Amino acid sequence: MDDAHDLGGRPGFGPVPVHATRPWTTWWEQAAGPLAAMMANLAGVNGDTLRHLMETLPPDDYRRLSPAGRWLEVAVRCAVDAGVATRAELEDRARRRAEGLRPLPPHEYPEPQRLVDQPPRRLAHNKRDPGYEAPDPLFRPGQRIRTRAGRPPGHTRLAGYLRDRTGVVTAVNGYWVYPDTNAAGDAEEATWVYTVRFAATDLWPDAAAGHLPTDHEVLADLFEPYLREVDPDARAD
Amino acid sequence: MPEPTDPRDHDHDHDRDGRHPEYRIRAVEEALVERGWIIPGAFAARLRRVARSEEITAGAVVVARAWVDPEFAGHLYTDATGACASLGYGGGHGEKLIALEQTAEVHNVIVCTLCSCYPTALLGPPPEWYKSDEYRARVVREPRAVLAEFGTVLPDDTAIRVWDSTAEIRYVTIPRRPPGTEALSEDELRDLVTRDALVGVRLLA
Repeated sequence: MDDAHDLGGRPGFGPVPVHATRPWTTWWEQAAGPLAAMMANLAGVNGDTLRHLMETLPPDDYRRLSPAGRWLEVAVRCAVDAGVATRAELEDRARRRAEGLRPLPPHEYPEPQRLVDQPPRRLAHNKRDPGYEAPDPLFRPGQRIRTRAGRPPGHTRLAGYLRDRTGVVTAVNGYWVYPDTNAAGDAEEATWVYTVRFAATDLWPDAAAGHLPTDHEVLADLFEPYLREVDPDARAD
Repeated sequence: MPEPTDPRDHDHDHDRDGRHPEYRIRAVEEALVERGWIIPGAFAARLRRVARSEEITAGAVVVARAWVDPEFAGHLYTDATGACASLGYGGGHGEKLIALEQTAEVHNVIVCTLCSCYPTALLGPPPEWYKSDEYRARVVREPRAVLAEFGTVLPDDTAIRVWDSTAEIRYVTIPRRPPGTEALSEDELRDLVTRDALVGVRLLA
């Protein structure tokens, strides 16, 4: 799986554009995100599915586009899925604008069909901290854990650089809807979330011979199914 | 808020055809209006609301209060969601907030490597650098080098913790109160607070 969005720790990136201090510079860059949120709502797409749509753009498109450009692709996809217009109609309307022409009357475009069967629902209605009847957490602060090694198909919030790594639980951070299943539109499941602290030397064990310092720590919020117990007597590797 | 410009005024690749992003957005808006999904002007009104949120007032209020009110600071570091709610600020998306205290020993930095999760309830929409692929890729791997690009150089014995926002919990860092500000009022202290300090990429002067 390419996972072009999964950027943490990937080599080959240049200086951070520290002078790009505004959230956007042009009108369309400001408009793309809100349009995507609005169209996701019409398409009945939850926040996890919305992220999943962005993260499953063709990898070359993901890399080529700016954040706003990515949102625009997701917005158009959701608009088409919601039955706002067909892709061909949207392209025709955009072309006519570019050429200074009026759009066709709506009845001259083929009637768009809704391509998703979920009814529209509000975004992010389903995020809760405790609230649910929760089982006891499997892990506790101070415990050493190892993260899942594989990359199951579908949506996940376990970043590639945090896979198959050993860390320490620093906090139980609430009981939350599990994005991995929620993004697929399945019935909501919830699971415990833990803050896990990783030493950079454990994330990049080969770096000792390299040129980058690894004297820092990374902390991430990880869902319980990502974690496995580590035998406290076992040597961390 | 940036005003719409006519893309035909510029001279880039897609400027004269319908692939320009502005025309594509307007095409969706036009279809929404013509098919009765929204009334004319509804999308523009939504964008005006987004533009108004482009300020860090809430974050500055929270930080200045924490500097002058130890009881509030204690609340903030144990339950930032509740402490911010007591000032009228909260996550519009149901997120949980956590405030990280910057100290001489530990410096915290925030990122979202998978997308661009950010404490918008306190800081408004994230700046372009925060959403950039460069920041997302590098800050977890070489935070000292990235901070140096912002002009931030920390002592070698200051530990760096990078917080990757991989769930629905949003982080904000609470900068240390600059020395020599004892005589300032809470209002004046707010003016010292910068967005970049609350993300952890810059220190306060």
